[in-house]
Amino acid sequence: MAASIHKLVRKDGKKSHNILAPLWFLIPALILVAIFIYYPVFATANMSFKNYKLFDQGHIFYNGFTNFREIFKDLHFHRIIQNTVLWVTVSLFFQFTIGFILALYLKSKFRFSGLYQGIIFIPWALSGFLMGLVWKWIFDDSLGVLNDMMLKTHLISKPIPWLSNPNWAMAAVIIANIWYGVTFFVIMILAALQGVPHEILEAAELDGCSKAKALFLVIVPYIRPTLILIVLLRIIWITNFPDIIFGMTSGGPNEQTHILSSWLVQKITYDQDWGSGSALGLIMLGVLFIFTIFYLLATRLEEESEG
Amino acid sequence: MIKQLATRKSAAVLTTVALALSVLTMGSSSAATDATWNCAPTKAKPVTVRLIEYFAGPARTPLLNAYARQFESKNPGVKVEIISPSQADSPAKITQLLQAKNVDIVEPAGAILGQAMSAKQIANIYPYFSKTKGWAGLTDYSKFQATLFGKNTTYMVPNGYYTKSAFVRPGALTAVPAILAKIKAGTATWQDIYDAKSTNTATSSMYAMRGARASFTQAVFIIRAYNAPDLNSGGYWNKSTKTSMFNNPKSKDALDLMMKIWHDASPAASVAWGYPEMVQGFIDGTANYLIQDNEVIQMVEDKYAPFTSGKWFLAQMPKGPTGYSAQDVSGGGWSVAQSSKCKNIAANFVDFLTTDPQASIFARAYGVGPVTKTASTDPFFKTGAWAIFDKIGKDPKELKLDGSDVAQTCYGEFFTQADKDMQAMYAGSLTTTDALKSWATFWDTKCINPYKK
Repeated sequence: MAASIHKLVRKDGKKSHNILAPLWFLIPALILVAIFIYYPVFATANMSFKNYKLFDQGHIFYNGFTNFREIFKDLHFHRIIQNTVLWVTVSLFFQFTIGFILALYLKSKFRFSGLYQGIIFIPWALSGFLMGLVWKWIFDDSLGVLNDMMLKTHLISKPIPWLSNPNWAMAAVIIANIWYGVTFFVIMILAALQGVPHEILEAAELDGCSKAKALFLVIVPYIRPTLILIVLLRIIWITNFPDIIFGMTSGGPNEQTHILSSWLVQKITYDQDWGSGSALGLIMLGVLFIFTIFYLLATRLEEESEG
Repeated sequence: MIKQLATRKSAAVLTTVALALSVLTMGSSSAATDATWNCAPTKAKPVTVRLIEYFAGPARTPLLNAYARQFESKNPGVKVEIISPSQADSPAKITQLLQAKNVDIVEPAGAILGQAMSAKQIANIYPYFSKTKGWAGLTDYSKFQATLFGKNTTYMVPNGYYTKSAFVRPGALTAVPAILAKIKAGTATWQDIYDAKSTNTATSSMYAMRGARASFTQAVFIIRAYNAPDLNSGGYWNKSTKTSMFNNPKSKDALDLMMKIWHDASPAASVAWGYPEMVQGFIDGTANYLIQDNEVIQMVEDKYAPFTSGKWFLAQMPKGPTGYSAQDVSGGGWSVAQSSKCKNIAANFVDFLTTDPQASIFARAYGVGPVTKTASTDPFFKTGAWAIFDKIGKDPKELKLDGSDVAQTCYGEFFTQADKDMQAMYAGSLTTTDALKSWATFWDTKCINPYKK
């Protein structure tokens, strides 16, 4: 193998780095990525143009854009898009805000701070689907602890139909998702905050900067690259996170709490319509890809204008 | 008990209905001579047999695993792996494993049997299995079910029967003594169940509705009760008109009543209830009237109260205006995958599971109707809570359907669509008229009409 690697000789006669060597080291990883990422994507793309229903395997054939058309024409499509936007924006806003506040508190040393950190990080270690089941029982209309507590404290006079009313059900799954995702922001923002040099903060303090001003004028700009990255990651992850919804409502009632990813799971597992599920997967991939490009361009333009 | 449920007349119809499926799979009947039927595992060259359950649960999965270990000890070189997905996931998981050709034995309940046969994914094991001890011990009705798709063909060996009855909490119905008396006598109608809504409280309702997966079965219960006895042996066609029962105007009356029961007599949360939630709803008293299969007896006894406590009893399903009801008396079973590389070993394990005492212990532990001659004479299945099934078996006004329509290939698609329609009806975004029209069109155009073959 070594003999086949093209070698460069510098003008001074010394052997340079082998410029192809990194490629050789990358090959195993590239092969794995090709097998586990690109092949499934291409297979999905191929399947998305097929009538491919597991309960009717005698009639598998290419059907053009039929799967895509049916998705866009589906009675629930607009509601599912609305839900997805709501699910991502509301969850992200509260996860970020609460996560930031908790991270600020946890940064300062206090008694049992390590214990608090451990408790806050627990949700991230648990299965999303399992958490969905737990929240399902918390929100249960008849037997749920939440309704029970609110009834006993006279906050409500009759049980709230948390999971049987579409609007309440959407609120319930978002609340559960906020709880689940706060931890991620705490972990990441806390790590970023701990990287802010003390010298800068001390200098700001000497210059008469209040704590609030120091936060917004010093700390936030300093950790901004981290914040941009984690917000982008969370948008993608929240969009692709059907676990809690499946655990709590399975997308019901009447498919009114589906987001795109939970709808996709339903198409693959319950409807066994792999063609339509693949088409939906491809649509999601496209939407997230376009979003990511715009997001990164926008943040880069903003940085350049500030620079 | 089950023997009485069999109707020999239906055999001819069944054979006709399943003709297309049988033709598709006939080629596999000569498979007994191929290499996949001649595996000879040794300790040096072991074989693994993978079995996937449809109805995994605490009452049966440990038992199946124990049987697997017993079988392994009797057959050196054989390893049996039991796969036990949750019941919500099992249809998809079984289908995927069959598709991936990565399983030896499946339990193809519900819509899976028809679709797997259509895709030639399960093997005809009759030539091999009919010579086994397990086959010899089956009841006549079990043999009838095992050969449902034609003479000398066995695509599924029954492992238990599921008969539906009503689980009732009498303490909650004391305000409606007349209805309670009719429920006990087995003469209550669906209208009576609706009228018992007067017993609803803030935290407890009359009827345990099903809103999640398989919710359409609720509609089918009541529609059949309104159509019986004018039903074919599979239970989806009217004998008189030779068209789908969903065309019958009586079906609209039935479905309208079911929607009233949903709105006025069921817990709001039941819109999301599947099998476990329905059972739990009955156990915790959120609902006082639950229609479910026999295996639920054990769960209610374990989690609520013993049958002898009198806190609950079993009754026949509600009748329609004609005094009839109807239900499928079929169930799960074991099928050997066509892709199995060691069909003889897989069939041997099915034989082991089907032979007594294994089959009888399984039936008692899991609470399903027995498939073997020995177990069917066991007093256990005729006394206590189980006495109701003897009564159902003897009642000519409760039609026992054979599951042939459920085994049709089209059923899987109907299952998916009808479930969505039920949710839409619960939410008020689909009328019963439109739902019935859609279902009638589906059955009349996409399924095999037994009267038009």
